[in-house]
Amino acid sequence: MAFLEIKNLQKKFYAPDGSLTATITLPALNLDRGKQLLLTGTSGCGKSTVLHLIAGLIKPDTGTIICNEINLTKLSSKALAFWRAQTLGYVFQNFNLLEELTVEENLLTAGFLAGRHAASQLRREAGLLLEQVGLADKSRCYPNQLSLGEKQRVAVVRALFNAPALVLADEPTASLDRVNAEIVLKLLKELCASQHTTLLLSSHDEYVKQHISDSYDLSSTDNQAAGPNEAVE
Amino acid sequence: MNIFLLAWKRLIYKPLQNSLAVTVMAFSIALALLGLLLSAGLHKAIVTAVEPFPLVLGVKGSPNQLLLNTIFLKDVPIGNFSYQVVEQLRRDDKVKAAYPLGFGDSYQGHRLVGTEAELFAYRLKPSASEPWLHLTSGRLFAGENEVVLGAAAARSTKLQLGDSFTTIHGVINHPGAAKHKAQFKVVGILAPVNGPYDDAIFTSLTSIWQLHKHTQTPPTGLPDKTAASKSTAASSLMAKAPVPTSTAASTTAATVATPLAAETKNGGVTAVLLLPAGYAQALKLNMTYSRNRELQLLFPAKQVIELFDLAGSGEKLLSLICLCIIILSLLIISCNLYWLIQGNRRQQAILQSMGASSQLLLQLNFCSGLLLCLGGILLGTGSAHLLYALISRIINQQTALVLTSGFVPAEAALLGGILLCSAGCCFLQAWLTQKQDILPALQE
Repeated sequence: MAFLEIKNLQKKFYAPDGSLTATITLPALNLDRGKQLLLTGTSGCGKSTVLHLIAGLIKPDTGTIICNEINLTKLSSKALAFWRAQTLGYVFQNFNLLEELTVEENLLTAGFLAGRHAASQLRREAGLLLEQVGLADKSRCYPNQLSLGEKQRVAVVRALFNAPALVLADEPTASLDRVNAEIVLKLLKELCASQHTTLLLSSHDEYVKQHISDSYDLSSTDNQAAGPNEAVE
Repeated sequence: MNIFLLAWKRLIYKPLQNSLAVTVMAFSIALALLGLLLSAGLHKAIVTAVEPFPLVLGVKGSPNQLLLNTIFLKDVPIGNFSYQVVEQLRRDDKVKAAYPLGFGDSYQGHRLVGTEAELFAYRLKPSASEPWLHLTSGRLFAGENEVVLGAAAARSTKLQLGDSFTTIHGVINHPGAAKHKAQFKVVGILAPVNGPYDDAIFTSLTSIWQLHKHTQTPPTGLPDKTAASKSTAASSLMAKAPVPTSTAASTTAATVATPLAAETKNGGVTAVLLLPAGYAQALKLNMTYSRNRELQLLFPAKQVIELFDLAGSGEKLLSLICLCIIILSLLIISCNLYWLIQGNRRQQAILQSMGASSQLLLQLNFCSGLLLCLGGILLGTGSAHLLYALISRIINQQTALVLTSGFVPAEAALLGGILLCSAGCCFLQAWLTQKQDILPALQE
């Protein structure tokens, strides 16, 4: 059995007046443990939606998502939150760092939410990871004191802080210039590989394919959209 | 990392917004609490001032003026009466003790109170460890022109044991006030009684009589006709004084007709502090003096209750205003909490995406709101007590009332109620917002 199995996944979106605006369909997707897969497709095909569905941030209308033999679609919201804290790391396009916390505190919060309370141990790990990504001197900085590239590196480190089994990265390089994008991609790949973490990354940038060879084109599935729709992406 | 730290960090991230919220809350709480403290303080101060005086006898006139003059050492004395009244009262079975008081002169605004040494043995309660007026240093006056200072009088005048001073005529300190020549010497200082008598300067009655015996010619600074027409007790402690009709007229005449006579031993008194033998005896004394044309007997506690009743409608209005302020402050707290939580939707969504459970988010929002409210309550309470201390000082300086600081039971009820309501608002806001869709916030 694959580490991540998706079957007959479907999600419909409706306008406030009740009319159907988009349907995202994913017939099947399998990913083994430790593998890295790139989700590609045209804008609006549902790449971000698929990642949101896997993360449990939205519920599918039909289909199953099984991760490490756990059917995520059957979990309660409390169990899903626990699963997210323990098993999942999420990297967003717009970083989504906690602005009121320092870089180190962002990492410690990830540990806190995963139920890890050994403060000194957590600080040590945070220090090592930040050093690894070249941000050891930024541990006490706040996100608004970082550059875009630095923010995304912190976001990557935070996502991997608890050594999750699965990392979802939603357009992680979309807000970055080419140089920083390359740095972040390389970082993401290497950290996931070193932790044997499964990586599912969505992007419409062509150069990302140079870093992750295996890809899945969502545009090839029968996804329908009424038009540019922010809710879908 | 823990919930309190997360909540605290959330609050200090927006210092201006949250400081404003705390300040507004504190202001409304301080206003409500200050009203409560002042009301309770004034009540207590008046009751404390009145407590040593179960019954007061004075010249017929305004009961409120007698109350102000005798108990609060304010206003001008109504008049004097013969010392024989005191002697008569002491022979009366209905009277347990009678302490004469004579007013008329002052020093730096502090009233000179002529009395007898027995007053300093008077205990408010039989079980009291110390008399009402007891010394902290020195001794009681023994000879003439010796004084014992009240605690506040000693502090204010900076007089110490062995110092001497001269008094002025009358109870109002002004540049043109007539001065006596006699020197008074400080021989003792009293412990504070938290009442108007902290401001008094005590001396023997005979010292007062001697002082005014020598000033039947007008004291310096006043023309003859002014002295002659002066109706205050200050200028005529040795003058004719009314006597109860039951006293033998011949004795009365011999005592008061010739104030300057060398045989005159006693002068007049302004008031008598009476301790009745019992409640029934107090009522009988009241009946006796209610028929008296020259003297009146006052129950100070009853008089104060009547004054409180008069102020009652004002107090009710004040209470209503305070209640409105409290309700307003709770509304402000609710609005602040709502905007606090709404303003943190994105942070909340990020935490959810990182695996924060609904319960944890509820606790976080509740904690944030409660910290904000606690800040407002602490600041408001501190401000109220500080303002109360300032206002008490002003009231003490301007009037004879001593407003003591301390905890008022109603304060606990007020703050507890505000805290409970705040907690309720926090919980409600936190519960309402945890149900919101997080995706839009994540995509901001």
